[in-house]
Amino acid sequence: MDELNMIGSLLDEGSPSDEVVQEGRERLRLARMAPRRRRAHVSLAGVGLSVAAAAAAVVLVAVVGVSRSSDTPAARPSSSSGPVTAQQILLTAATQAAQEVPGRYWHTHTITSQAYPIRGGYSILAARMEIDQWAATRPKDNDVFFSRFAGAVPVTAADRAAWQRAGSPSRWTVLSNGDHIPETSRSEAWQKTQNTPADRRELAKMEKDCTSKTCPPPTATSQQAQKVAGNPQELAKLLFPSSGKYQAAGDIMSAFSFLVGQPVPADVRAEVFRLLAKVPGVRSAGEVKDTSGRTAVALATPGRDVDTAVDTELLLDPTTYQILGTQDVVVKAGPSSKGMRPGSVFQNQVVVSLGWSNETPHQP
Amino acid sequence: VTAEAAVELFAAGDFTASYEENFDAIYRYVAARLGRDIADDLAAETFLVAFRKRHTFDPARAGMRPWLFGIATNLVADHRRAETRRYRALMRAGTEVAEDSHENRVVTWVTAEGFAPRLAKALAGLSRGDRDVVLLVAVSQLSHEEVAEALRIPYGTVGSRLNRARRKLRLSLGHLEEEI
Repeated sequence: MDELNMIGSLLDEGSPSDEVVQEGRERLRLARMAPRRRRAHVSLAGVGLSVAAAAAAVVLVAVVGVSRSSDTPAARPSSSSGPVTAQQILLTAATQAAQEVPGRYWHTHTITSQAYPIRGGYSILAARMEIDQWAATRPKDNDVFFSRFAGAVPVTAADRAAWQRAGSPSRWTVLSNGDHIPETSRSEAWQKTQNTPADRRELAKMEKDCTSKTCPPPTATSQQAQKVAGNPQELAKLLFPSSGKYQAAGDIMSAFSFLVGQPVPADVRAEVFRLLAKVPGVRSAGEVKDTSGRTAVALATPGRDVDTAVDTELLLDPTTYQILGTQDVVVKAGPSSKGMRPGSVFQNQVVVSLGWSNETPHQP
Repeated sequence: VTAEAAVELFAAGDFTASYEENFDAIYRYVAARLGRDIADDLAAETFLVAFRKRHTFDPARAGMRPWLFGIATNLVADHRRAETRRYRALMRAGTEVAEDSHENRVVTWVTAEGFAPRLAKALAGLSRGDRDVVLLVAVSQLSHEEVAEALRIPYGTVGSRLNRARRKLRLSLGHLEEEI
């Protein structure tokens, strides 16, 4: 035996597992199926809401599925053709993310809201914080934010019907953290705020210098992530500070905040999806309808909000694998969520649109 | 089959066949250099990159297999730190490998002779170009011609790199060379 044979056996790691072979086959199949669609998607990213909405409408027409809402708790299993395990879905999302073409701003439009049961047998999404964010990639550009509280809306189509039967009220009183607070269907005016480069430095310094126990967890920035990119362990340490029983739910939320909030280059975005694919305890919950009526694939893991047992779900577009949002779905209601049925949305973050843009920041 | 027709055929449907034929070999090559964790993702990535670049594939110039190994080698190059970490781990292999692990089984005889740490160290010390040649030959049994196609280097360069690298590897085995 010579030194080459010795090296051969020293380094041999054996054949891939069946799962790995199957997953690679699936990724290649998807790539072969959708090269045109993917290119179109990249150019769509910056165009904005109207095109994205049109695309979503096409998806709605194309997919015949049973929606999961407060009245139909059962999730529809994923169709047999697409990727099936959460890991396969996340690795496909990684492959898709790697294709993105960066621009001057990372532009994301999100609405964070909370569901409240209303007497009359329906639920509304309220406390809807709507943020249209333009995160600059150039150091000298300002980050620009448009934000407002959007008016409350019924959660699902069934909730909407019940709301109409109740006379379509525009004001409600809901129980929030033990207090009865008023909610309205009217949206507030948009507010514009900007972060100058100096503001960004100041903010980073504040986070770094904060020593009290009440300090918010530091936000992982795109710059920090780029520094440790290529080293999955370090990247995981930066992005996934959670621990304990609901670690996977914490990891999903952290990854979401990072991927949606930060202007992250394509290769790092791909790496974050690959990291998520390694988080144990995340399962595919099949196709669901989000609260905007869009079809999504849901990746779920158990979570908890005070006394409510929930499933924390990351929602991805079944065609482009872009992030559509997150939602906590009630598994077992507690005293603070009394009246909420299992399967109904407890709180959510809807990504209205996201993508790279070279436009000048403007109000949505 | 004309070259053009081959490209079309290849673009149209041959990818499936090529995947089935080459995935195992590509996986083992990547895993040998970077370990199974990274190979789980990177082997499939090799085929995706190949698919994206399918129009640059020239069947008249090189075969499918060396072309795929060339792409895999480029992807491996992006993980240099991981590769170095792997060789460092293998330098300690004699003492730290867990019982009954797969890694344990395949390195048993080399470690038993005390070769593993020295070989791993010698591998880590090779230039990237030399290491690419050595591992394509040692791990994946590519012919000199295939290595030249994969790395897009002249045939003669393959021989000279391989000889230079083998000399270093043999030296690392020191006085044990005679017993081989």
